[in-house]
Amino acid sequence: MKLKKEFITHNLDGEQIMVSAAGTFKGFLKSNQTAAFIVDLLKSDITREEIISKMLEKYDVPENVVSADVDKILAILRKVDAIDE
Amino acid sequence: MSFKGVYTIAGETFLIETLFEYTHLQCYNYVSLKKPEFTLSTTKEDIEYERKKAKSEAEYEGLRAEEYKDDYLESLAVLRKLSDKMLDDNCILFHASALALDSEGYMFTAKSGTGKSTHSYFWHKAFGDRCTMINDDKPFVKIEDGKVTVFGSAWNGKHNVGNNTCAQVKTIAILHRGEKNEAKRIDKKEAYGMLLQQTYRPSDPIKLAKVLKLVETMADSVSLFDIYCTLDPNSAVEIYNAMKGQTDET
Repeated sequence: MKLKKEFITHNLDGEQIMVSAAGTFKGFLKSNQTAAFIVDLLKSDITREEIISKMLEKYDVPENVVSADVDKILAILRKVDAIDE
Repeated sequence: MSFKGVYTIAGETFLIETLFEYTHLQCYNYVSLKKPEFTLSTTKEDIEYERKKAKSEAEYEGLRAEEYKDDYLESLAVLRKLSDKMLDDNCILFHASALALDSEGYMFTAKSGTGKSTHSYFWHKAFGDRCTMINDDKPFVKIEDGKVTVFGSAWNGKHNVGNNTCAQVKTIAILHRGEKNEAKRIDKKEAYGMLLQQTYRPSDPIKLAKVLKLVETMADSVSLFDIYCTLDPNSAVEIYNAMKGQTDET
């Protein structure tokens, strides 16, 4: 899966802002560091398991916590139709 | 048959070629004798695109979709094409009521129906000749070399309030209705979301990325406020003094 190309991100002093050029999602998403890391990974084709693996390399957090966080972020991104499965 | 005219808006001179006369009547204050740098022309497909867009935006805001005439929709198509082109010169289309007071630009931004036009009108009444309305709905705003400049344009909103002039913007205020008149200075992070929501978003991802950067630069270059305004004409002077007091401190 991958972030759809019409979704654009911008770094605002450490916060990531994401908007859609397609017009289907008219709002914007504000991501903290963890969510921004996941969004940045999704700019290339990647699987859920690969995202979890990279998160575990970066953060010293139990796997079940990382998995839950990843699934939460993916759910939000799917809700705004940001992901090409 | 087509209608043509050359206009200068926000420092850009261009030829507009349309199917209907409406846009040219709208642009009459911006007629130019200069040589156009580019051409904007419209098609029936552009008009249908604007019809669908207007309908989907009304549905999104929970409003009843109005039936707009083709000539009016065509003027929206011209505005869209112009807004896309203006980005080449670091110029965004911003939803705000903009005025100049003592030659300094102020922009009041908020969702439609909050009271931007009313508050600007109060400023105009309170400050008289010191105050010039620039654009009451969708001004072009150029962001370059640390300066933010707001320009009048033909797209002035339903009250048709504005002038063919410009001013350097020192203050952007996000307007809210309030029980009493207050101004709270805010920083770029607090303001950015609303500023972005009130800025035209092109459908081209590269241009959209540029808009995100320009909005940040705009926020960095001006004083930013949340203002809470009553529907009292005195709100103009109270809000002005409240903002001035906080900007004079820095």
